[in-house]
Amino acid sequence: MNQKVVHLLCIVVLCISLTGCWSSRELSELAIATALGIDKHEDGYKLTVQIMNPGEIAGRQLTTRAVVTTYSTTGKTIFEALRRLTTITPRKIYLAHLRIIIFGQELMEEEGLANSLDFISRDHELRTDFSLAIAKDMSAEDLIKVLTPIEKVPADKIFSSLKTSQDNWAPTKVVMLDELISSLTSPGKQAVLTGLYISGKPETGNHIENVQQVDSPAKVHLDHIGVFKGDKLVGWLNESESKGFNYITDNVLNTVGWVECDQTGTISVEVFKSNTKLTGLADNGTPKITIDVKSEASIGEVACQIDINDEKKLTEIEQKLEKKIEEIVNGSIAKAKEFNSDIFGFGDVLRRFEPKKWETWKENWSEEFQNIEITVNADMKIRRTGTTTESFIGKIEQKKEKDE
Amino acid sequence: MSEKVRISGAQFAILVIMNVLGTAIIIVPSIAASFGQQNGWFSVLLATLFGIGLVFLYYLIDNNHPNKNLYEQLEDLFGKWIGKFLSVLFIVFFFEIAIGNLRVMGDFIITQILVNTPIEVIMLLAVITCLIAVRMGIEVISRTAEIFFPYTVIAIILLITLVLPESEITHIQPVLQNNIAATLAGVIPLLGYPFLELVVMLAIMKHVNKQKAGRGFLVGMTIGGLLLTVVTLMCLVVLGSDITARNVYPTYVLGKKISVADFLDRIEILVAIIWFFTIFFKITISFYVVAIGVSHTLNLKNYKTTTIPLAYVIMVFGFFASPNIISTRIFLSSTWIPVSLIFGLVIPIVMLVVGFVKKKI
Amino acid sequence: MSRFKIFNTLKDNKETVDKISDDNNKSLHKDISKNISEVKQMLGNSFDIVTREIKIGETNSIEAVVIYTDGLVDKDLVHNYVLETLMIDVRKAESEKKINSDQELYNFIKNSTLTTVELKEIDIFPDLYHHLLSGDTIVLLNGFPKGFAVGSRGWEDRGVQEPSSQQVVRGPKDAFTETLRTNTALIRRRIKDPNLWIETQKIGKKTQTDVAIAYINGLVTEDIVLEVKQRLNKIDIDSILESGYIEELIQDEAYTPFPTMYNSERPDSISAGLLEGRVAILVDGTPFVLLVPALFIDFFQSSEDYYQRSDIGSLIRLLRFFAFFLALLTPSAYIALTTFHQEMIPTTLLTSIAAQREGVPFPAFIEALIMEITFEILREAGVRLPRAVGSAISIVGALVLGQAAVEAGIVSATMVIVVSLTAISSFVSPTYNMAISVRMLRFGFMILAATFGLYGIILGLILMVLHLTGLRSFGIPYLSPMAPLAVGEQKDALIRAPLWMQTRRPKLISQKDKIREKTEKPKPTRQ
Repeated sequence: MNQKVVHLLCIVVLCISLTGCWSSRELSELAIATALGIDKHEDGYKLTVQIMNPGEIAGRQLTTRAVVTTYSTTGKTIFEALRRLTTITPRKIYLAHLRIIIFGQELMEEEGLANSLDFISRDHELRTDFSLAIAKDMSAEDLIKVLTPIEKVPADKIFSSLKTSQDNWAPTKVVMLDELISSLTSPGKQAVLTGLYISGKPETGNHIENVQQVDSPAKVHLDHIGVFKGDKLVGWLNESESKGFNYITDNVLNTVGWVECDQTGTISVEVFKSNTKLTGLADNGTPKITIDVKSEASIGEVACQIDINDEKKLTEIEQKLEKKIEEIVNGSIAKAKEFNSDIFGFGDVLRRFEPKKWETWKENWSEEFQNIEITVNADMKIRRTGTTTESFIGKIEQKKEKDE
Repeated sequence: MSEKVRISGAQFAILVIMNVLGTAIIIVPSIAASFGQQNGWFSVLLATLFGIGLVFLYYLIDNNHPNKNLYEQLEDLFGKWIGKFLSVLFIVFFFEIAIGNLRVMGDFIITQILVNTPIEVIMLLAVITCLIAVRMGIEVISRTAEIFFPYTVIAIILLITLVLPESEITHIQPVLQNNIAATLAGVIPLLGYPFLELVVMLAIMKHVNKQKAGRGFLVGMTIGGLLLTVVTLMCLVVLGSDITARNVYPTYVLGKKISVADFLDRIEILVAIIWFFTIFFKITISFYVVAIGVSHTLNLKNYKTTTIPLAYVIMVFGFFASPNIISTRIFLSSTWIPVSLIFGLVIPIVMLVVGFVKKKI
Repeated sequence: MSRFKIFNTLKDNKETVDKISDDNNKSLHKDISKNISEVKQMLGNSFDIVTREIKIGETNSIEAVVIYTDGLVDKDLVHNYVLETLMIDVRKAESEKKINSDQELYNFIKNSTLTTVELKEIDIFPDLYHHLLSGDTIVLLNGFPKGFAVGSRGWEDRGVQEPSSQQVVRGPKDAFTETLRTNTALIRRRIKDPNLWIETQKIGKKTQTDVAIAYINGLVTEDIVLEVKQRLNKIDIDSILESGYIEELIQDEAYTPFPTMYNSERPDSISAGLLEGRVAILVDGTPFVLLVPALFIDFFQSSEDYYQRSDIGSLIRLLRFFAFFLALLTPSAYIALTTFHQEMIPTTLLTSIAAQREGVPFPAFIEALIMEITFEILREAGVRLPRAVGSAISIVGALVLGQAAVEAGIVSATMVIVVSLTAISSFVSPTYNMAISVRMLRFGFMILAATFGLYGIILGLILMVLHLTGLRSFGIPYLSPMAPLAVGEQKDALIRAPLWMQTRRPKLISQKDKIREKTEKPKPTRQ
């Protein structure tokens, strides 16, 4: 029995004598990084880190100092640059709460993604719940320096607008680390990343007045999906092609589409449910992909004379919408073929459906990708018409005619 | 050895589950995926079936000498000296299990949780805890396991259900079409680790009620193996075979994927903690079995005499067991396989045969 | 052996009485003045010992003395049934020639005069002292080397009041008092079963404290009663002033922060324990009655659980366990999370904690330690101070200290929340002694957390559970019915199943007379 007491005593003594060593870090010793920017530099990499100033975000007495601050440094490797940052940061940088990593376009085009990603996936402090993006036509450093209104931390702003635009508009895509790595390593899929850019006056972005004005002079936009081949950025999809990409990869949660009705105007619908099924088939040695897009929508805006109580008319609109989706999808595929990059994962689909054939196509998939035969079947159902039935625009038009 | 202790069937089953899951739950998905890729879960399932087969082997052995532990049986079957020699070999084998798991645990904690803490300290604390447990006897160990078991299972079930929304069935398609050979080959390292290691249970089986021992073993092995299969499956479905194989601790990465309503996230350390319970019992059981083995071989009256020196030795060997984490992985998928096959399969079969022959005569 | 064992304070217990003095069998003298002077000398002429020398009989022929301890006796009883009868009744009897010799006088006094229930002959000094100091009145006659001890105990008593340590909203409001006899009566009033046996013995060489063991014969496991008796007999101490003495001297495991004996001042709790086959130990001079064997879960159960609906009772029990872990682990979890595992805290929460910690000069561990110790000091001060001042001081102290400390930037507001949460949770425990253990262990966990983060906490938990599973209370595993698991016992463990479901007594405690009731699930008898 005494033995046990001695053991416990040992542990206690050990613990007390060692308190405060090793792995413990006080919160006040940490610089919580929210965004990381990686650019190409002649020395190797230029690393920019956005650090949160918690006292300015949640403190009791807020001052007018900026809520974030950025530090930049260069290094032969990313790891080295990160550690070199300690020479200019007051505290050790803590990466576990990182919201976003932004790569400079130049780095992506010339050097590629692979080398930067290894550190990101290897370091224990980095988690996997941040998203990745590319600074389009600019350096990541400039992008990270922009202050944003409403969301105090710019990285939060970017992270949440990536999510909301993906969920409500569908031209962007939140890419997380795991997905990026598996598309980079998978033989039947290529990677994509959403692009970010600054509109307005980028130079005022890092001044506090950027958030003091009603209409911020410099705004961070997200648009376009960057297409990779291997780990290098080869081009961009525009908004409609990006949407097409999301349709194909079944990444549309909610979006808005419009078609012309008659000659008088347009009608827009809110797609609230969309499901895409990809099926692969080997037809005499040529790969074949069928894309079935099943969407449900409700009418969101009627800006023309149309009787939506008429079922026939409704079917007409549905057909037009279907055609439009097919166009968007085809446009997106054409662009991908232009870049010769299988961003949709058609290869993966074929691997699943034709595992034997896939083994033969795998070797020169980029050539086979060009020959791939694609059939798009869109199916659109309009379920609801919003809170009103027939639009009053027709009545107004009739009244106009009468007046005349 | 003189202790008159009883373990209930349920407690024994729990100990078996803990021994199947200990360390394995966090590493097995990676090993399985590196062989069978998207079919890795099938390797685990096959290995589980094999493990269930092993249960019958062990049960038959124990049934021949229901009131003797492994070491006593060895002496009965092969005579005093050969028996003692084999006992020593088994002790070394169990010793290796203890230090191997200790090391794996240390490496994991250093890599993921307490990065700057010296591994010696981490291991020392674990060894001291195990030492206290071992000195309190197998009865207390199994009761403690009973306390922690529900939390372990609840945590695993939570882990599985919480990452379910993240899963994509396409990750494991096509099911069982490619890599069949590799999938089958993947069964072999999984046998050695963890299933054949369960021969350790033979040394404490005599404390279990004879009728309940076999059933407990079977239930424990089945539940443990199935949990392992399901966790591997979830790793593959959520992370994909590539990331599962690439990560040293895929289950931990799986835990990172938990995110419920943007609120219940960042809880992967809880996964690590639960896993720590299982490994604690695995090390403790191995340690205990080594201790009773040593005292049996040296004809000591009380196994507690050997525990403190053994704790030192386990500590030191655990520290020097492998120069780095890579060699641990290589060791598990190469050297360990024949070793565990000899101790977990060959010698038990010989024991069974000799036992039958002796009975006939 | 009679099935009825009447509790009798006058019942001689040679064994213990023998211990009191060296000349333990010194007989009384024939000469009364010798006896008086010896008593006076022995008791150092203490002024509360009253000796009244009287002469009885028609001719005042016989000298007698009445000795009692003032304050311990019922004076009316002494006047009416001792002095009056001795002085008047004897004279009457003698005048009627009923008494012819001294011996007849002696017998007459014994059989017809002293009209009290309890009367005992004494012939040695130790007995005399014992009865005298217990509140009995001693009557000695000249010429006889023996005398009488007249049961006249009656002293100022607090009376049965409401329990102060374990209060309930619904349930009986009486509590044990300092008087053993009252306490046994409170139990008897609840259990009118002849099998309720109460045995008594005296412990404490100087205090000669009455210690009673109560159990229901036929329900209790004999081994446990025997074990309790053996352990009590091993006690060799000069004084027993509270049941805590007994608890500390007979518990199973000396080095443990956990209580292995249950104590309560609620007669209903103790009666419920007796009806489950446990043994109660009542000690004279304290309202706290011990109950053994005690399991870990007993300390999370309140008698009110059984008086309220079972569903709410079950929920409240679960809440108590939750609060137990909160009280044990909140500060250490806070330390571990903020100094080791910041990645586990959601970003927004981390930001606000970090903002508060800016400018706090201490590491989180020291901060937590300061606050916890401050709180413990406040609590202790609150308990010891007069009741009116105490609560005011502790509330005001906590508020002022907490608020001022936060505003001065010495501690963060989160820390104050953590400490308050811990404090409130530790008050949830229905038993005070489990709450004390938690208070102690909490600091251990804080040290572990500050050194090894969650790893330390987990090791601590494993050690704690190992220790708990290793504990036994009078042979019963402390953590049962959880480990070893007993499925049938779960009806009254973490939850409290409806009474009609609990048909059996806890089988771990007693294997006899297992069936508790046969009530069926209640439903209207007529459809």
